[in-house]
Amino acid sequence: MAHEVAHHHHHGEHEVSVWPLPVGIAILLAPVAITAYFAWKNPMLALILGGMSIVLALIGMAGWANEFFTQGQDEGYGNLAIYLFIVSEIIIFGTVFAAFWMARAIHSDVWVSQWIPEAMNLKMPIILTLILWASSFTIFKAEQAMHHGQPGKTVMFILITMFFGILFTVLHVMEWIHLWHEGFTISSNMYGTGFYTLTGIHTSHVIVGLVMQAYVLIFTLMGKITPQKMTILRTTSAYWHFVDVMWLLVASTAYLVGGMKI
Amino acid sequence: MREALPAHKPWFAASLWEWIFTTDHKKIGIMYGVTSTVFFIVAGLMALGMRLELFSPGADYIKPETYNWFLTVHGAVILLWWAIGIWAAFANFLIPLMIGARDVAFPRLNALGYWMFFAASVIALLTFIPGNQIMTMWTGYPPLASTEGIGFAGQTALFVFIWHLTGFASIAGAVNFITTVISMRQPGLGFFNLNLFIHGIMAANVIQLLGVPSVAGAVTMLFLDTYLNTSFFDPARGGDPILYQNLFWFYSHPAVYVMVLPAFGVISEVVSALARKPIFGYRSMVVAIWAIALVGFLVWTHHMFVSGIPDWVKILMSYTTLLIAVPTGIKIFNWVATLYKAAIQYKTPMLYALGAILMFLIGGLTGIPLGIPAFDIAVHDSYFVVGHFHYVLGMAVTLSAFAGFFYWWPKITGKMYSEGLGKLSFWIVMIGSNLLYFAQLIIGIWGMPRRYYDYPPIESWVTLHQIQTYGAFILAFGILLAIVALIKGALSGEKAPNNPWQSNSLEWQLPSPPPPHNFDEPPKVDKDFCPHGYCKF
Amino acid sequence: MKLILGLLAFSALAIASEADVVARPYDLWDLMYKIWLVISVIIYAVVAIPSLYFMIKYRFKPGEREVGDQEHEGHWGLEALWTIVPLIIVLYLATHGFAIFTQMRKPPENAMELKVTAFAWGWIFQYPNGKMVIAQAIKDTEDKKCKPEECYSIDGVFQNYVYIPAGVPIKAVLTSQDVIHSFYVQAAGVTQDMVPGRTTYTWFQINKPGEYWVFCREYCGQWHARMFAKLKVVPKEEFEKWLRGEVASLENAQLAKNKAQEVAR
Repeated sequence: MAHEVAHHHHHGEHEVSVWPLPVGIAILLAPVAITAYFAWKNPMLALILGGMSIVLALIGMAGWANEFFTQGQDEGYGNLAIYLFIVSEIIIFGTVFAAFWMARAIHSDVWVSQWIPEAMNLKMPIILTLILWASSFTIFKAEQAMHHGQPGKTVMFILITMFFGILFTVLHVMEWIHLWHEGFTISSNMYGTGFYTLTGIHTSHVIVGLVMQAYVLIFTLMGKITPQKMTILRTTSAYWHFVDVMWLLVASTAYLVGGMKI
Repeated sequence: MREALPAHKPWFAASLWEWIFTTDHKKIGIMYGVTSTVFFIVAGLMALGMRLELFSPGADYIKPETYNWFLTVHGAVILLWWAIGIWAAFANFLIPLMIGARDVAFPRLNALGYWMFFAASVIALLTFIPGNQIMTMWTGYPPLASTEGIGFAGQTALFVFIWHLTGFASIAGAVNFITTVISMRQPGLGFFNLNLFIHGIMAANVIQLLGVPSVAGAVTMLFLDTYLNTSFFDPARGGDPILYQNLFWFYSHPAVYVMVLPAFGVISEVVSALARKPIFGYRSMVVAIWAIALVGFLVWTHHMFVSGIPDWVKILMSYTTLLIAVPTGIKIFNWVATLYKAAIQYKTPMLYALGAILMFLIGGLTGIPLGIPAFDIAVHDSYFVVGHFHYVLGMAVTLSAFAGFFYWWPKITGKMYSEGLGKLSFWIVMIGSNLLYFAQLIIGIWGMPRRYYDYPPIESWVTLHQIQTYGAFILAFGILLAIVALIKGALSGEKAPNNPWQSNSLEWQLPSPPPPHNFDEPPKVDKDFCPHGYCKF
Repeated sequence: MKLILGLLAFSALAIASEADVVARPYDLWDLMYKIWLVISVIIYAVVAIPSLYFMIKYRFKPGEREVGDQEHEGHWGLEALWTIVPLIIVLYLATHGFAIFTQMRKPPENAMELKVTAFAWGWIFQYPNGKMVIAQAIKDTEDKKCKPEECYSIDGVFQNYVYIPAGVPIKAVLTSQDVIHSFYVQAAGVTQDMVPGRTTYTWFQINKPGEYWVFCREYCGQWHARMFAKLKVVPKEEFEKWLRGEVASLENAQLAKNKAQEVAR
C-alpha cells in the first residue's frame, strides 16, 4: 500500500533545517568525552565536552521538535518506524542475554555455590514489576484520552506514568547501591557483570522513555499534540510498552535465572 | 512519461548554508559519497604503505605498530566507510527518485544520520593523533583489545566508538529507508516491480536493523571489559572470549551482504539498461536477494572454524554457508542469460558492471572452500582469505560502485563523464587488481598468514609479494584515472541528455540534473510498470 | 551424476597414493583442495565462456542491433536448472567435506601428546616427559631493524627449533596464557586457535625428516608477524635420544645464551 505523497513543499526551494547538525555534534562530543575520561584520564576535558554535548543535545532536540510542530506535516510514518527501531533494540538486549545465559549454563556450579550474593531476593523485582505494569496501563490511558480529544486527561496520565518511571529508577538505583555495598559488583564475576549490565541497559531505556514522555508532556501542554497530530504520543507509548515487556525478561533473567540456587 | 519540463535551477545550486543544513536526500547523498570516497582514498594510501613494507622481507620502512594501525584503519574504513557507506550515498540520492517521492520519510533524521557518520569520521581521524592509534584490527578480538599492556592494541575506546557511531547512522538509515519504501511509493509500484537496486538496498537495510545491534552489544561489552573491569571476556571470572566472536560475526558476516546486495542491484540496473534488454528472471532475482539476506544470518561461525567451537556446529554452518552459493549462483546465471540476444553497448559503466560479475564469480568460488571446515583448517587466517574477500569487496563491490558512479553521473551532474578515460581506467583497474588479489590467493594456499608486517625470506613468497605490490600501484593508478574521468566530466563534459541510457526507471524521467524538489507532480505509475521493462513474464 | 562419479574415482586415486605422503592430515586437505579446484574451474568456464561469447556476439550495432530481444526475460525451466544443479553441487561438497573433516579431526590412538601454551609472543612446548622448549619472537629494537635473515636467527644460528619425531602422530594440546593466538603447522595444513581459558587440540604427523614452519595465525599484537617456530623433524631414535637429554641441542643452548645477554642488557 502506498500513500499519496504529500506535496506541501514549494517547488525549487532547498529544504533546510539547522537542528540535525547541533544534535550530531552532541552525538560526536559524547564519545569523545567518554574517551577523555577513561582513556586519556582527563576528567576536566571530559566534563567540558560532556557538558557541551548535553547542552547541544537539549537545544538541538528542542529546536527540532519545535520545528516539526510548527512546519512539519504529521504523515504518521513514525508508527512504523518505532517498531523497526524496537526490533533493533531487542537484538541489543539479546546480546547481553546471550552472555548471561551462556555463563549461567557453563559455570552453573560456581555460579550457584559462590556467585549469588546473600542480599539477592525477589522482593524488589516484584515491586518494580508492579510499578512498570501500572505505568504501562497509565500511558495507554494517556493515548486513549488524546484519541478521544481530552488533552487534559492525557497530561494527567503522562504525569502519573512519569512518576512511576522515576520511582522505578530511584528504587532500582537504591537496590544497586545496596547490592554493591554487599560486595556484589559489576566486576565480581559473570553474575555481577550480567546483572548490572542487563539492568543498567534496561534502566537507560527507562530514562530514554522518560525523556520522550517529558517531550510529549511539554508539547501537549503547549497544545501542539492534537488527536490529528499525535504520532509522537503513539510512538512514545509503543516504546514504553516495549520497555515494560523487556523488563519481564530482564527481571526474570537477572533475579530468577541468576538468583536461583539450582 | 512527461514530455517537457519547465526549466529549473539544478538541485546542487545552493549556498554553503543550504548545503550544511540541508535535509534534501540528494545533497545528503552527495555528502555521504564525498566522505566515503575521501576515506576510500585514505584507506587505499594506507594499503600502498603496507604493500611497500611487504615488498621485501625484513623490517623496511615502518614499525610493526604503524603497520598494524594502517591495517586496522584500512580494514575498518574500507568496510564501514566505503563498502557500506558508499551505498548510503547511492540509496540517498536514488531511492526517493526511483519511487517518485519528494524525499525520505524523515528528512531531518536523514541529515542527523549523515552527521553521525561524519562524527564517526572525526573519531577515525582522532586515531591519527600519536598515542591514539588503534591496533586491534577491524575485528577487535578480546582479550587483546580489552587488555591494556599486552600486545599493544592501542586506543580501544576509539575503536568502540567508530563502531557505535557508524552503527547508529546505519540503524537510523535503515529505519528511515524501510519506512520510506514501504510508505511513500507511488501507487502502482509493488514488491515485484521495484528496481532491483531498491530490493538490494532494502535487504541490506533489514540486515543492518537486525545485525548492527549485535555488534554494538559486542563492542559495548569490549568497552566495559577494558575500562570498567567487567568479566564478559575474562575466563577466570566466568566470561568467554569466544562470545565476542559470536556476537561480532552474527553481524559482520551478514554485513558482507550489506555491502554486496546493493552492488548486485547496481549491476542489474546497469546490465539491463546497457544490454538494452529486460533482466532475465526478475522474480528469481528478487527472491535470491531476500534469500541471501535471510540465510546470511545462519552462517556466521564459518569465521570461527578454528576458534575452538564444537565440531558439529562447524558442520551445520558449513551446510548453511554453502547454501548461500545457490541464490548467488542464480543471480550470476541470470545476468549471463540477460546478455543472450542483447544489444550490448560497451560504455564505461557496462564494462565495470560486467567486470564486477566475472570477478565476483572468482570471489564466490574462492568463498565456497572457506565454508568447508576440511579446507578452511589449512587456510584459515591466511592470505587466501584476504584474496577471497578482496575479490568480493575490492573488486565486485568497488567495480559496482564505479559502475554506479559512471552510470548515474549524467543524472547527478548533468554532464557526461569522459568515456575514453573511463574505459582506460577500467582496464588498468582490472590488471592491477587481478595481479594483486590473485597473488594473494596463491600465497595463501602456500600458507602465508594474514596480518603479518614481516614474513620469512622464502623465495616464492617474496616473488608473490612483489607482484602484489606492483599490482597495488597499478590499481591505485587506475582508480586515480577513474576519478579524473568523473571529475573532468563534471567540470567540462558535454551536457547530458535526460535519459542517456533510455531506461524506464523513474529517476531517468527527471531532467539531468534534477531540480531541488524532484518531481513537479507525482509521476503516474501504471500497474504493469517495469523500471527497465523487466517485469513482464 | 557423471561429475560426482568422476570425482569419487578421482578421490579413490588420491587416497591410493597415501603411502608416500609427507605430512598428515595434509593429504586429506590436498584431496579436498583438488576436488574444489576442479569443480571451481569447471563452474568458472561454464559461466565465463558463454558470457564472453554473448559479449562478443550480441554487441550493439547501429542500424542492425539496437535493441535486445525483449521476449527473453525469464524461463522457469532454465532458472530451476541453475537452482537445482548448484544445490546438488554444494550439498555434495558440504557432505564430502564433512566426511573428510571427521577423519581430519580424529588423532590416531598412538599419538604423542605435546602441550603447547602460547604467550605474547611465542610458545612453550612441553613433551610427555616434562621437557620444555620455548620458541620466542625476535623483535626489532629501536636502534636495530633486522635484515630478513636476522629476523629468524641470532648470530647466524636459526632460532626456535622444536624437535619432533618423524612418522609419529603428534596431538598438540593447545591453550594460551594471555590473548588469543593460533598454531599453524604449514606442512600438515592444520590451524587451531589457542584461547585463554580453553583447551583446544589439533594433530599432525610429518613423515619426512626436515625443517617445517609453524606460524601464529591469529592476530595477537605488535610482534604477531614474528611469532614462529620451526619443527625439526628427525628419525624417531634420534628424537628419543634428544628427549632423554643425551644429545644437547645447539640451537637451544644458543637461545639461552642470547637470553642471558638480553637480561644482562
